[in-house]
Amino acid sequence: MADETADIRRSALAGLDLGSRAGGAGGVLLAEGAAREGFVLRGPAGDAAFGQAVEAALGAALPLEPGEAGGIGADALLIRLGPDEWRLIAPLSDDGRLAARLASALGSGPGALVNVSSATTVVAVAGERAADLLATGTGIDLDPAAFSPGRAVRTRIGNAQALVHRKAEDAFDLYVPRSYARSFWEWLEERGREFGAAVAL
Amino acid sequence: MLLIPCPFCGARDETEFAYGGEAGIERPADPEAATDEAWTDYLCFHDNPKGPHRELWFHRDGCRRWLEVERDTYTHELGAVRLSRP
Repeated sequence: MADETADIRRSALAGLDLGSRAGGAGGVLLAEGAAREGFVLRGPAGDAAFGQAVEAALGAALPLEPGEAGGIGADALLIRLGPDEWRLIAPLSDDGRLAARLASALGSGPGALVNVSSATTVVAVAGERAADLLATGTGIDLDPAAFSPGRAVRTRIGNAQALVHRKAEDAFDLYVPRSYARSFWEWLEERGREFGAAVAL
Repeated sequence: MLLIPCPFCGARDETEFAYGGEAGIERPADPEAATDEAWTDYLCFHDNPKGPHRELWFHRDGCRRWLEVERDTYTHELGAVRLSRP
């Protein structure tokens, strides 16, 4: 597993030289989040054996509500993205151990696990105007009453598809396709001017 | 702009979807045995009404499911929406 995630340690945003853009203070802080492992989990939501296998491997119940992001320990997440699709997100330091446990628990039963760690770049957007900035580029309702902290959904923001994890009312992690990361970042900076966005390292 | 009420994700912007044409088109069960007329009809001749239409939309940037949507092609009014293959 370690080999499959090796390339994500090289930032997709390296070419932008974020260090030279850092500084300023405003209503929004933009930062590149730490690279994380990501795995697509597919399986039948209504199948008891599948749910039990996931719970046994991860020590957390399979989230069943759309947009529900169940925490696994301190740093990992399992997010319900579709009727038969979830995303497992874990820190690089986990080194594939959670996923390996899950794969072995699924065994020959229904369910599939695919490593997509290299597919996304994490962009962190935080600050009191963070939701206002994102709202300029997405159709989802970012009101905390409709999209509460702790939840995560897949949608479109600006020019890219993004998995949006609302960590707190004013803090979002955006998992965007790696090949879109640079233009997405530039879009964020451009839109962010209106909100006094600053780049954090 | 349409706001499509996805049964899984909730109301989402039209830009998250890809249009898939008329819904309920049945592929001939045995293509080798289908007449040219039946095959051509399956491939090419679809309804294009002014008014109520049952059509497919793919929720590309959401749950990645095909939806069957009732839409009035004249007023854009949306009716029932369901997952095409739950």
